[in-house]
Amino acid sequence: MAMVKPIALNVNAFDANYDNEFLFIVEGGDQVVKNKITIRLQSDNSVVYTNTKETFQLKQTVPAGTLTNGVYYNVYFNTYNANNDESENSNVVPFYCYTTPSLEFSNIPTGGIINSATYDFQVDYSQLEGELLSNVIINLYDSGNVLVKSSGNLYPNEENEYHFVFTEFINDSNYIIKATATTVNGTIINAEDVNLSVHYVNPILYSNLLVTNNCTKGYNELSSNVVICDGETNQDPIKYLHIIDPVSGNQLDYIDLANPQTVLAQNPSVNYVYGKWETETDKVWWKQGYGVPTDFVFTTRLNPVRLDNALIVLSNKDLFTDGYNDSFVYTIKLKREIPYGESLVKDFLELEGIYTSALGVKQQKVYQISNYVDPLNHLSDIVICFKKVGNTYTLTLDVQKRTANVFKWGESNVKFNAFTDLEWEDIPNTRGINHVLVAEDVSEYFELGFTMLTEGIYDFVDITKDTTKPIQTECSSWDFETRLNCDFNDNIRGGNIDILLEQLDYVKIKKAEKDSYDWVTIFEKKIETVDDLRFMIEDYIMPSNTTIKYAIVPILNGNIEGDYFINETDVKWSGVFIANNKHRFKLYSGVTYGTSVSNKEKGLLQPISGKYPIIIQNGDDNYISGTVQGTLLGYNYEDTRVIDRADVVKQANDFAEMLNSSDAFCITDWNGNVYIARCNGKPNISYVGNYGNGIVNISFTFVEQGKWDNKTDLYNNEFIDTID
Amino acid sequence: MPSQKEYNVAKQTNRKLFVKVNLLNYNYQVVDELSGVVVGSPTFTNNSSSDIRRTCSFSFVPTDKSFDIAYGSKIWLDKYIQVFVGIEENKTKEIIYTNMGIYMIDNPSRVYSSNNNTLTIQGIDLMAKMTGLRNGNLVGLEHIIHEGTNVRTAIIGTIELAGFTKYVVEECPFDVPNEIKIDVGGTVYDILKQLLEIYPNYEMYFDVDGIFHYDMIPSGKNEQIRVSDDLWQSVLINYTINTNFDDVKNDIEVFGKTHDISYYAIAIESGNTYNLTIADVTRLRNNLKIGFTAPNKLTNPLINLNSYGAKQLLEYDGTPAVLADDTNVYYVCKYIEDGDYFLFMGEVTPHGEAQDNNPQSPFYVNGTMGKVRIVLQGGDYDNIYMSSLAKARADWELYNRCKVKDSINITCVPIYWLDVNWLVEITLPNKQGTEETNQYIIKSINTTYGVSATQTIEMMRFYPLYEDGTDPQII
Repeated sequence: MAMVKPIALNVNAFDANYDNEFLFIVEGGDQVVKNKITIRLQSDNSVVYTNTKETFQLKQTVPAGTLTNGVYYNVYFNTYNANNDESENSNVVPFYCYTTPSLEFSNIPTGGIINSATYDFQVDYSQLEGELLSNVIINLYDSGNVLVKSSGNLYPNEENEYHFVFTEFINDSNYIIKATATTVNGTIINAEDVNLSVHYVNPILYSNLLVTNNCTKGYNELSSNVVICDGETNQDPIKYLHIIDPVSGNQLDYIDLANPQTVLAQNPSVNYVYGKWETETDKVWWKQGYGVPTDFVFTTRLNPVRLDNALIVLSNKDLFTDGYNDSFVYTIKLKREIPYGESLVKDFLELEGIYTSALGVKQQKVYQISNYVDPLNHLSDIVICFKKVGNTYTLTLDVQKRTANVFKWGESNVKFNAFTDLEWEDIPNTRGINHVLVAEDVSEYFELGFTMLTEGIYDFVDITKDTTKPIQTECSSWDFETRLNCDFNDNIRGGNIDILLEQLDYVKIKKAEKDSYDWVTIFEKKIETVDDLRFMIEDYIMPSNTTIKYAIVPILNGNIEGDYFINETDVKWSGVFIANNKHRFKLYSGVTYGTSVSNKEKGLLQPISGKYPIIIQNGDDNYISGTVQGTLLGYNYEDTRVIDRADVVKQANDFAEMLNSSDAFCITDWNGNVYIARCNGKPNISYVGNYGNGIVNISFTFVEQGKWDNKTDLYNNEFIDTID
Repeated sequence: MPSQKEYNVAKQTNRKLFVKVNLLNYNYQVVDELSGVVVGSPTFTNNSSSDIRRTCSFSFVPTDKSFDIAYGSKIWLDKYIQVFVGIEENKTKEIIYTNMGIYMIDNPSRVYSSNNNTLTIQGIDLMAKMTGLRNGNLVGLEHIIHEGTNVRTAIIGTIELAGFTKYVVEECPFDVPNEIKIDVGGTVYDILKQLLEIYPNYEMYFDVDGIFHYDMIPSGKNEQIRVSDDLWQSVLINYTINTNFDDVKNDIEVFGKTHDISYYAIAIESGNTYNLTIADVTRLRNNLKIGFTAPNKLTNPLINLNSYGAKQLLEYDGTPAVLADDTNVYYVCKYIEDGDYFLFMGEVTPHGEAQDNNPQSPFYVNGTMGKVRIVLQGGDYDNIYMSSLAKARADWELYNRCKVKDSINITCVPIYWLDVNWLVEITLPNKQGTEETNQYIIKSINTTYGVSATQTIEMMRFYPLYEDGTDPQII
């Protein structure tokens, strides 16, 4: 036995202000009972530190302060046995001493509160002597310290910055973000862990996402009905009311448009006439993002504040911007009279439809009145329902609750400048006339796109296309017939998304299997106008006999992801379909699958001494390949059931072109098979003689290129445009 | 050295392979990676006798325009690539990567056809940045390294010309013996090569971390055994023993360049001093070279030239010179001002001999094969300017021409972390013959990557009882 040369292990750069452990290994030779470390300057190999230590341990610790930061050194070891025989020098290992670098997150918001579902983390690195950074890994953990997502190795951008964007923060959750970096000389640095709290305003889409499984054509049809209809008001601040219903205990939400202006208070006798409210009353209006069709139902619930003034205005023009010329305007007022032929005072609604010509000449096109009710006051809770079907109008005044006025010293609930159900001797009630109703055809003025409310405390407003709907007394939720809906719960939004158009960047459609949360974005649309929110898409990449859920997700400025509005459908495919984003084909009779092969490259190597071979496989490669054969009957056959030779030829040519291109396609069938694939051979196309050469048999070989629910595969094969 | 995990996965009977290629800038910063697009069967070579020790070859499928061969793209002159090969650990599914080295991208070629779109690149280790293959041509008319310059200092200064600042450069026992002049068109490597040849037992190369090394060639003596039968039994597929009788020489004689001596005297002994009188020498100056003959062999000899005072006559390692006991031998020495002594350079024509004197060697000079002699002179041997150097060179030649011929080639399931110049121990299966456990030094490794790929290792037999001849102390 003799002393073998020790092997010094690599030394990462370290801070000379701290102790550092140097390691070596010895295998074979005499027992090492002592070792000597020698550290030299790289510049001239002069020894700066040496120490001999009697120990069985194969290491030495160099004390803090022995070496100097910013200097390049090398180290080697000698070992000794019990006879004090010295080994040869070990290998020489170079190393640097550098001041401990700093690594920190540079853009954590105050208090670690993240106000969005997405955040772009940036780490800053600095090192006194200028040691370079090799890579950074940022890991996000949940509050239970379970890894949520790792950035993997991050590489510097052009500004030499390291970024990691995390996109799936769950609202009202806590996280921990950690960063680890490695310098080019192997020093590992950890940034201080940062606790994060995620709280953000979660935009919600109230829209229905209509999903229809079209099994005979091999796709799901998705229709979006996202409406942004942001209200406007002259109130500043907006006067929202929140009142707890003493009966139900529920909070009721209102907007108060009843406060009289100063001028009104000073001169209550001013007779408010049509057109005066623009500047003198509080009001709210909607003028974009929706359209009221010719047949509709308008419903609102309110406490009215005055008689004879316009409560509701519907128009086909923005009256504030465009004026009245060449406009059609519906106005609804609350009126009081002694109905014709009766003796008691009643209240009712009056609807007028006025067309104003380009020259300003007014023509009454519609005049309708509602049912009569006993006199109301400003405390009355009423529902106004205005239904139009063709030229038939139904105007309904429905009293939900009454509170009689009391006018007694100290107990009065009469409000100044608001109407009352008390009789005033000096204001005689009008005796009504026999109203002549007018209902001309005004369909040429539709759609209406301007709605205004004023002179009341409003609970909700709703406009729907569904004229079969019974009168609503509560704010209904959005459906596909809804055109405008607002509950005044701290907002005046009339659309079905609680965000402003200018805040909305994108809308995404995502899908996943019913029990999965691994969402894949299948569609993304930049939103510039409200019309961009209405779209229809077809999705065909999924297996039959599954349930697929879809979500429509708003993306706000700053890439803030809103809540998912989810709808789902059972998927059935009646046939074999081959499709990509450019083409879709259905194979008909005689569809056969050749033998599908699951390919996994493996090799066997047989060592001389081994009983069993060594199996070697390359990475994760594993794919299906096979052949498909079927008949093409033309694009229109599914609808017409007639074989059109020209249609068949065109479809066959398109089919061959798709297979021969480098584009991937998706194969789906009744059995639930789904392959993202490419054709790897020459497609065989033959016209069938038995059918007068009117139909086409095709066959081709394919190779699987990805999985239908793997977003990276879908992206790489150009089925989707983005990977979240 | 491999980590424990690297060692463990090399023994697995089921290997799932991965490859990762990092793109590095010239500061060794990782700026990107090429994972997932490597196709074909990458190959790696690692040859201890080659200037460019490590090479590799890859094919990629370009996935976007960043793979264009252009400035600012992934494939350009300003990038290194660092290759990792990984094996998935069966139990934990963790991929254990092995660093296969840092390379320069060389000669990328792209094939684009109706059914092919691949980009193939050659990787050559960082020495190529100095050989002129990719860079390294010197700026200016000529570069001179003066006689007497410290070799280590010269090497560090030279590699810094090429931009390398990470190195392990050991001390050479000798200073630069003669002025090194590199003419116009020369390369950094030309300088390094001449510096390397000053002492034959040294090598230079880049390791897998891109660190330049100038250190002694491991002889195997007192080295730790890096790989034993514990692993070989799991991976060895076959072996071939190669012995080239034509090149086997067990008696080596080396002659250096004959000195051109301007000053000569016959020594007159006085005690242990050789008194020399040379009228043309008017003073002692650094590197003054003189020739002399001596009547007797003296112990701890001194030289007193022109009565300038007796100076020690020393070997290069500081030990007293030992002259031959022969009055006809013409010696040369050189005055070293820094130290105030005469450096003994041996005969006027440096000369060294080496023979295989190990009775256990199959090439033992007194064995059945007798002496097979070779005389080496001229060419590179003209760089030898001292007899002690000639002896060292003779020993090294013996090492190469005799022992190395007792070599084997083995084929095995790839051990990716294996390196050249490692001492390994292996029992070669031999059903009909004797199975011996012997030690070998790895000289070259060729590795391919893929499901049917193997690794070929060339190894030379190491005889533990040999004097390895690499230690200047024993010359």
